[in-house]
Amino acid sequence: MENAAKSASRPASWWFGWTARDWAVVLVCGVVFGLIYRLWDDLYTMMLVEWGWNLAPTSLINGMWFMGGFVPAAITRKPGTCLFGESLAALVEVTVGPYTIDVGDFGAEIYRTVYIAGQGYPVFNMVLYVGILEGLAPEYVLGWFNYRRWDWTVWVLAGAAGGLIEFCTGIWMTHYYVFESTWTFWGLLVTSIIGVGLIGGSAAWAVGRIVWRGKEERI
Amino acid sequence: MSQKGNALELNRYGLPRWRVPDALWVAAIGLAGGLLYRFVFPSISAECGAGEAQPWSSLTNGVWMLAGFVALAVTRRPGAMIIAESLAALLSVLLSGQTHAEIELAGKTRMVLHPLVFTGLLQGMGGETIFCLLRYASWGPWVWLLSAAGCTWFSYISGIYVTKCYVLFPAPVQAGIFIATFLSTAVLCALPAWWLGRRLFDTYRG
Repeated sequence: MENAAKSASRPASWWFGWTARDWAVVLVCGVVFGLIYRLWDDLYTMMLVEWGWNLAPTSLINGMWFMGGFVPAAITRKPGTCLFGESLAALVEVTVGPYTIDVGDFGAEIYRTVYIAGQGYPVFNMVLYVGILEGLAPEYVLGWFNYRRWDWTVWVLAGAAGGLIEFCTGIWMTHYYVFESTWTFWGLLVTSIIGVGLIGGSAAWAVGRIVWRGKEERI
Repeated sequence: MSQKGNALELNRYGLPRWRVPDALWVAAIGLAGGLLYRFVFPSISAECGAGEAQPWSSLTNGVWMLAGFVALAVTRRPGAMIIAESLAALLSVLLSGQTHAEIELAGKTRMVLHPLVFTGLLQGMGGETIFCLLRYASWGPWVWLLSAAGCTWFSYISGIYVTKCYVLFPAPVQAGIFIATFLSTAVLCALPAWWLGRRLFDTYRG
């Protein structure tokens, strides 16, 4: 509060108080999880297309799409690490080739083609922006507890926000969700929230618990 | 303390505490914004030719961000911009005749809720980000301008990927649309919101 009084229009410390260690964690996690996402793109397409898994139960493992943001946030516990880690991971995912998959709108290619009235227009791969949104939605939940509470409840809430935004982007941005029936629609919504909230959020909470065990007074 | 005069009561996490009047203000501003978005602003936009190929016609785009900025300036509560902007977008879509739109999902055409609701959510999220990262403690003009930049960016993204109305334009026109939207958001929303918040929450200076 004293720092805030001195500079009402500027942050109390430069770049949200990140230390060199925080930068290292965010950069390393972003790149590593970006490469994992790139491999998982192929695997996920195989599950849905070649193996024919139903979309709704498959969404129970969607929490892994959030680990590029959850893991740095759980390790550093600083503002912005979830957003920046997940954005970096998405950037790596759409930038790194080779581009072997071309199914729907969610393959890894830097440019995609959007067809409007029969004519194709190149746009930057929207998976980058999906990644930014997936980092941003949990970031709000963590921020609404002022980056002070890191217990299981908050992580599940953050993951639920992420699952919700992922559901919205699948419908309105990437257009890769197909609903055989109303049950698939509601089932997909429920399994997205459970998969990202309960499972992904619990994983992030476990990571943070391992890293911060006995060090809580450092916050 | 950064806020003097009408001091904000803080919750146990050090953030401004939501109280009933704040919720009522946000709801009222969101509903009023929804009415404006439905009945007033479309005619203004159309009059100025927004959506056509000239980037300067996007100089009115800032009006679509008003509800969120006003709500956050008046209450300064975490999440006020997201809630008000989503509420306004939802109400404006519900009041229009077209609540659902046909969207091609994995090759099949389906009726889903109109994508403008998601656009409103995106605009609120884009504007709220910088305040969240700064822990809702900084309310200066530069923070408001950064917020306007975030709002502009997310509104541009939704114009490309959600409603897809900007995709038709060549890249220089898209850049012009971005700059014009930022200028209008800064002038119509961010700087008035900064002034309003300063009058409401800070002591009178000179």
